[in-house]
Amino acid sequence: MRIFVINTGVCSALGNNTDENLEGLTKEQTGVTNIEIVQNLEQNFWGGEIKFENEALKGQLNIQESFNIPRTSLLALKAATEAITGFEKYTNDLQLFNATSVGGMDLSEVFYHEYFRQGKEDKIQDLYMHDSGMSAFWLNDKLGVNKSPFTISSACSSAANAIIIAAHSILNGDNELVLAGGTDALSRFTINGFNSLMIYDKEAYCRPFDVTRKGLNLGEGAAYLLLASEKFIEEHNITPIAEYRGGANANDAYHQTASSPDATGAIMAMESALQMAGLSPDAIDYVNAHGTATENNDNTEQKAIESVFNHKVDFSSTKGFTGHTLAAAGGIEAVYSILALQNDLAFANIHCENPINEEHSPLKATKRKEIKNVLSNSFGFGGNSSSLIFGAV
Amino acid sequence: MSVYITKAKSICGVNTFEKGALQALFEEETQNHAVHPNYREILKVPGLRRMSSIIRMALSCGLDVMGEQNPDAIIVGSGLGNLDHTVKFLDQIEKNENGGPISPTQFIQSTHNTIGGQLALVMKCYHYNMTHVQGGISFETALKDALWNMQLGKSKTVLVGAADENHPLMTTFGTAADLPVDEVGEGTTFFKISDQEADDCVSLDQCSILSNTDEVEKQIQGTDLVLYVNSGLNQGKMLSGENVIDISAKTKVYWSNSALATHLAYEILVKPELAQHYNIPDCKKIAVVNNFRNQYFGITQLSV
Repeated sequence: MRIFVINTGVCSALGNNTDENLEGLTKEQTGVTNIEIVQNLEQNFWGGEIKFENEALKGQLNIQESFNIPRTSLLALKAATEAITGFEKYTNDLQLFNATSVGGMDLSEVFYHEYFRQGKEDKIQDLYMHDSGMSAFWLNDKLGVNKSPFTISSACSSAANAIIIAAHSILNGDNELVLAGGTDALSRFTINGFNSLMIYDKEAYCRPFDVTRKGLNLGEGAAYLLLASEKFIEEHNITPIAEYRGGANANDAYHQTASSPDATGAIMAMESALQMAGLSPDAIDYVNAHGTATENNDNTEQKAIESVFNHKVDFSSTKGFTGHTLAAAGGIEAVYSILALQNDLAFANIHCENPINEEHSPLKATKRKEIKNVLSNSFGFGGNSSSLIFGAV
Repeated sequence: MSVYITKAKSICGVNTFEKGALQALFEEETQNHAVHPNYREILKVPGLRRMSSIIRMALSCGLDVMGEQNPDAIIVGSGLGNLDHTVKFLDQIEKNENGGPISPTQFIQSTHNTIGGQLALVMKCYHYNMTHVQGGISFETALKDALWNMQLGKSKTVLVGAADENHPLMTTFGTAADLPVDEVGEGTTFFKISDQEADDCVSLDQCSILSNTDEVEKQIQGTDLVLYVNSGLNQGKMLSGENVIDISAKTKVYWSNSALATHLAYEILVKPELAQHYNIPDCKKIAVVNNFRNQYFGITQLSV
């Protein structure tokens, strides 16, 4: 049974919708800036921040709820709305597979700041949407979806996993139409978290696969794919924009946060995805890498890509454009993979001047070529390793 | 294809881990906090000292049901994740206004998929590993993922379960919102599910999540016993019927309590004498109905 992508929705530091993101990618200009909107940060951080404060986002989305909505949920609605545009009449058939790691933390941490310091409980109601499942329940409500939602939270591979599980539901015949992806807002919690691990580059833009890299810049955003079964697109005469050819999840089982030196999880995920898609490695025209610019990830992933693709494939990390958007990354990069297929463009790995391996370096500039199949990687804490493959239609 | 529950283990507000069965649920009053076994004796894993109680509970139950065997998939549900570590990291951030270095331990442990990640690490399991965080239906979404995975032939044995903790901040929030916080509990339940029958196995017939009570009533027709739980507070009782037993007070209310209810259903089918507590002589089919916010209903059906 074949599964197709019929629409996409995305917002990130590069742009507010799919077209704007494509423009940003081809301009080869980073969306990473000084983080301004996150409150109570102790020092300066670079990040892929979306330059709309929550009130502005609520205005754009026409939000009139009496209770406060977390930023993660606002970004989710922005991207999800774009993804279902033109397909609103099918919401009765739709099931949502969301992903987030931050959840409502942008509001919760502001409450906690006052509560911890002054015992103030003024903002305690804001905790109502703290948990990671609330974005999906709220999205269901806003989009008019009846089927109960799913929310996956597996750190940086979350959105990729949401897509994998959504596809499983179609393959099992339980769904014909799904909205799958993820969302995460910047937060003081995650910024401090990655800084405490000493893998946040505070001095400069992150430099994926560069030998001088000092760590990641975080980012924020949301992205969703509208996926449909072959039966659905035939019944409703829908022209797909890409095909979901396969996806796989494996576990590194090596360390809580670091990936293994022999790249076990990464290699297993890529090979299983290829197997599911029925493709040999040389059928892949472009790999959108996880490429966070941490010393550990890029070492492991470089090794994994060389191993699976026998030292030859065009690859790049687009996290130089968006920052690392955590649970949204797998979704945003799935959309970028589809843009690559639609536009015959393999995107640049910006800010890599001195690649880890000169013989097999990431793309220094955008490359025009025929692109029939794209593989996208997302690797998260807890050894969680996921790879997705999309094909041109 | 047929799917079976072959093992189950819970830690909850009565001592079920050491006593080895859920008999304690009928004999003792369920506490707001879990009755913990001696983790130092049963969990010989690196980093135990740094693990909060939710991770210890989950590891103990998960490792117990798998024994020496490695599963083909590990799937975990949790409504609120690792709250203890989350709050501790927030404390660290607040105490550190000068922006000096902070220890990363609490941050690492606060990630929602820490339980799944730790299980994989300890068992050296390289396979499919997912974490579901969908409020009161986290267990059912995890279970659906497990069933889809097995039905596609990707796994023959899956370790699936759910865990949630009762954290003091929840009491603060609940009190401010005028909720009956004395009804709140915590716990963990893990199952080994398999496509092969085994001793003491029970058929896992289906798991679905519905949005209205008419559909629920239709789905549970023909079952001998319905174990009903509210996974949220102040929800009333949305189902009626002589064979519908509200066990919310027995499990206490938390977002993973339907996993405990499902474990109880499993126990009753495996030990028919437990069905005497409900006056159902020939109990062969049990439905667990999980009401979340009177909006979503998770239904898990078991039979022998």
